[in-house]
Amino acid sequence: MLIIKHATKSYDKKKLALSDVSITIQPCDLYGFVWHNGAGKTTLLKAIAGIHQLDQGSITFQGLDVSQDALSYKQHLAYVPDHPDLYEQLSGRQYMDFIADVFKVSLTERQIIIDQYGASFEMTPFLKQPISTYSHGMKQKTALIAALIHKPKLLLLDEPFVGLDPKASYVLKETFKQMTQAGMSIFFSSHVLEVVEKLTNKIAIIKQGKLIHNGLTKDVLANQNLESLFLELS
Amino acid sequence: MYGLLLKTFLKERLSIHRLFGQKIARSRFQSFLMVGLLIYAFGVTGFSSIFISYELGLGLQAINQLSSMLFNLYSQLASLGFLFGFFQAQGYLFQYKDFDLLGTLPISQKVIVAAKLTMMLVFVYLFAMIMVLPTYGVWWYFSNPSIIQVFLFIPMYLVTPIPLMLLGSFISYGIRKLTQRLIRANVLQTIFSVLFIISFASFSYGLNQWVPSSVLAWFESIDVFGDWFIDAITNLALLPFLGFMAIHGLILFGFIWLMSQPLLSMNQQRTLGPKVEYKKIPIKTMSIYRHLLVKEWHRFIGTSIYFINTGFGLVMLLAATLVALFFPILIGDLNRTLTLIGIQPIWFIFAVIGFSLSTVYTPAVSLSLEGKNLAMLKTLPIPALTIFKAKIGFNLWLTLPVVLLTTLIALTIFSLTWIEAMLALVMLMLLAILLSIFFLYLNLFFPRFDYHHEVEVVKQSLAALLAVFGGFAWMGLFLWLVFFPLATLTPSLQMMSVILLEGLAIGVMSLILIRRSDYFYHQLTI
Repeated sequence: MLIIKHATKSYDKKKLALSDVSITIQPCDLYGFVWHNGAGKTTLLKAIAGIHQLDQGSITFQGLDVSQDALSYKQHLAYVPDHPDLYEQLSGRQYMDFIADVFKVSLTERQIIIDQYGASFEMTPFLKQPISTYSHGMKQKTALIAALIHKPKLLLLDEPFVGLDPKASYVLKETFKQMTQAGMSIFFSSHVLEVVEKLTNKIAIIKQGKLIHNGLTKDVLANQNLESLFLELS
Repeated sequence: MYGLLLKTFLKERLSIHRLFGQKIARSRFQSFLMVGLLIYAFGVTGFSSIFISYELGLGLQAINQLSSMLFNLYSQLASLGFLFGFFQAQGYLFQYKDFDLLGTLPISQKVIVAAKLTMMLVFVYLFAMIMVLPTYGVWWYFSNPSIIQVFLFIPMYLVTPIPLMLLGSFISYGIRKLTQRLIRANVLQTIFSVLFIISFASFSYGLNQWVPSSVLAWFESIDVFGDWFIDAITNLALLPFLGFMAIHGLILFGFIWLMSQPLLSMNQQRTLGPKVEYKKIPIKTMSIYRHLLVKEWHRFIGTSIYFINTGFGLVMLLAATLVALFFPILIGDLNRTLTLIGIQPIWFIFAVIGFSLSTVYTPAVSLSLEGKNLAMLKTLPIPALTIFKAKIGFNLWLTLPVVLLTTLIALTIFSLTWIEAMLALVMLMLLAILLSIFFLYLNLFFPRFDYHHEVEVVKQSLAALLAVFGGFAWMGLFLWLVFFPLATLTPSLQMMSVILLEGLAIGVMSLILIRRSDYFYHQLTI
């Protein structure tokens, strides 16, 4: 279980990028969160991923605090940024092996996962090529496969559907469902409101760093669609 | 984990694709050309280094002072460490590009810092192989050391750059920290960095004149590392060896231990949100050409490696000219030497200015530096020729004022007749234009858009290497003509001949560029 308590963060000590955000993500949750660009979504994701430190508040996953037990904490999660900056001179396979080695994934296990997702995302024929030759979508798929290689308990994704072709988007959505059914938690930001509405069981809406709505998707929406709610709030 | 990270960094930083670009790695002709140029460049540098070291070794052997060569090697290696620390620390330690990737992985920050430092050292070692190792080879040749001496040398060689590399890192960080809140921080950082390096170099060269001997003696007394280095290798002294290794190791591990957390914070703080400006921005309109020039200027001053590599020649030329103006005694000596070897001063000026111009090869790399922006540029209704003219125009905007100023000063110093002075001025201006167009052609034929860091274009691309050597080749051609087929002509006639040839070359290259600009532009693909 991921517990975010009173998360507050400012980059310039003037404007708050996150203001007293508290969220709890249970196992099996497929959590989506939305708002405009610059609302603090990426800041929150990066803070959960251990890239940014909070000014105030805490983030714990299964009792492990991100600021105190960073290495043990990070063992359980994976983060896929919106524009993955991968090691471009490595091939897709070499990059996946690097991540697998960091998480000490056995050769047999990593092979199964790479074969499975490589085929689903139609990446297998390209895995020997340097990442620098990949398109944005292919880099996104590579980052996704690498993120799944150690079977993380918490998957964080920033705009995961941007740059993916329709088939890959479908595969990703199905993968999300399978993973949450298997007990994993997924927390992702997206501007594709339709996807968030249909796919998630919980939604968080963050505006100017503040959490303005948070809870079960059906409760938050309350008989209206996400687009109408979004426009009403903005 | 350290080994895994280092292996990954090495693959990422030193792959053929990374060093030479995807297209070069795939094109046999370009690969051959690149390999040939590299062998030539390293051969020339290595040979010169060996030759100078050999001459030095001969002299030192005669006075039984061969150990001075080891001190030379030690100080060169340490200086290289300083320069690499100064220029690389930003991208390796304070704001590493892969922070978002590594930050999410369960890897200790100390391990990351250790691997990053090792990568910086790897680059120092690679450069040292060309710049420093020949000295050791010559010392070896004259001293015939035992195998134990070699075993003592290797670890000391590996740790020598560490203290000054870290010092260079801190100084570059200090400059960044001091300027980060000022307007146009990037520009100021670049300018301060260049000024610091020039001042550092001038101070080092003028150390004996400017610094009182008592202060120098004090410096020598506290800098025991050089003495330990020599003592351990020449006398097989174990204590200095152990002391040297222990202190260097302590500095390295101390840095990793103490700085890992601050470095993590520095990397975490770099992602600043966009600044909110409430001031009204004045609306301005400019011609496309002027917009492109402004863009080139911002690119030039905003990219340290670009500014330093392609602007240094001009700065040094200007500095040398001013020194010559204020110290006429130096020119008197030079004039006598030139008369003695039968060279007209104008050809000396031509060679010096031509050499500097060859290093200001902005049109040879500025197209490549567009990188992924080229796609955006291509979607705009801008004629190809305007873009090319802006690349050449920017180069001339940089070079012509300096050429004009230095030529006028040089002509005054050497007291040429007014006809000779006018001809020299035209000849040097045309040389600047010729080289500028030539550099653009190089970039058109050997573009490199798939770079990850500007250094790959500015220093490692085929166009950049060909530009420097090509510039020298043009100089060589003109000087060969002057000193051989045209040797019997008066200096004025010689200059008129060179002007004619320059004009012809400029005319032909410009004509082809005007007629084929669209074709060249369409050939450029990312």
